[in-house]
Amino acid sequence: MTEIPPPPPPIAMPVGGSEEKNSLGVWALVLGILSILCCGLFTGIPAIILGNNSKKAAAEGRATNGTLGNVGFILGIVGTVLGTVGWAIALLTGSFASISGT
Amino acid sequence: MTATEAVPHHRTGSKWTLPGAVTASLAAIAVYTVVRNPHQPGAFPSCVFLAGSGYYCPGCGGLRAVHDLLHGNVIGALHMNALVVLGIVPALVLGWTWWIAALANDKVPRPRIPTWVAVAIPVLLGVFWVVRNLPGMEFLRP
Repeated sequence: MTEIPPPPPPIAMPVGGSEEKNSLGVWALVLGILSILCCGLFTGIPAIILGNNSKKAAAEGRATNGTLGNVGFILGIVGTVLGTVGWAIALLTGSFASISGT
Repeated sequence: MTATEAVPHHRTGSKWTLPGAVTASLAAIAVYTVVRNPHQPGAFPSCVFLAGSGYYCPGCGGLRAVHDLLHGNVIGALHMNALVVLGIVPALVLGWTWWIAALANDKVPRPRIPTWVAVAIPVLLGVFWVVRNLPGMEFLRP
């Protein structure tokens, strides 16, 4: 890893810019990552909902980490789609029986 | 948004409700993973991505890795899923500890995830996903 310059200190927030809803972005990111790690739609759908709420909160100035929410939102979609498609293929081909465990 | 008055905080339940539920769930999963042997076929549901595509997902071997880790077998755990052992588990432990510490003690700053970390994690997951399925990378597969 090359040295990454430390991010600039947070500039004084514009009026109404608060961190009240920042936890939404963190939860969306964590659940989105878990959905990629084989939890599929069980954490993917909450990640999509929380990520969407996080983006909205950021747009309304009630969160400062909308990017986290956006990343969680995208990961949630990817995890949900792959999980669901995988499920469908596995059911159709009956390949569940031969493979075990995550 | 013109109101400058602080919005009154309507919190239902204690601030420990969510962390308590999350901690209990994590503990239950850990205990279940220690007791049941994920190496045994059928002990846990299959990975749907592996079953559907024949390729390993970035989480495949993760439960077996956690099982081995909690039984003290670090080498075995690394063979099952190096990313879970070196990345996901430490991140979960750090995040959980920080979260609880910040709730318990007002002097501890609340956990923050820098944006570059939020972008780097999916990139890392994607790279691991591809690399572990390449020929010659068998040591990255469970």
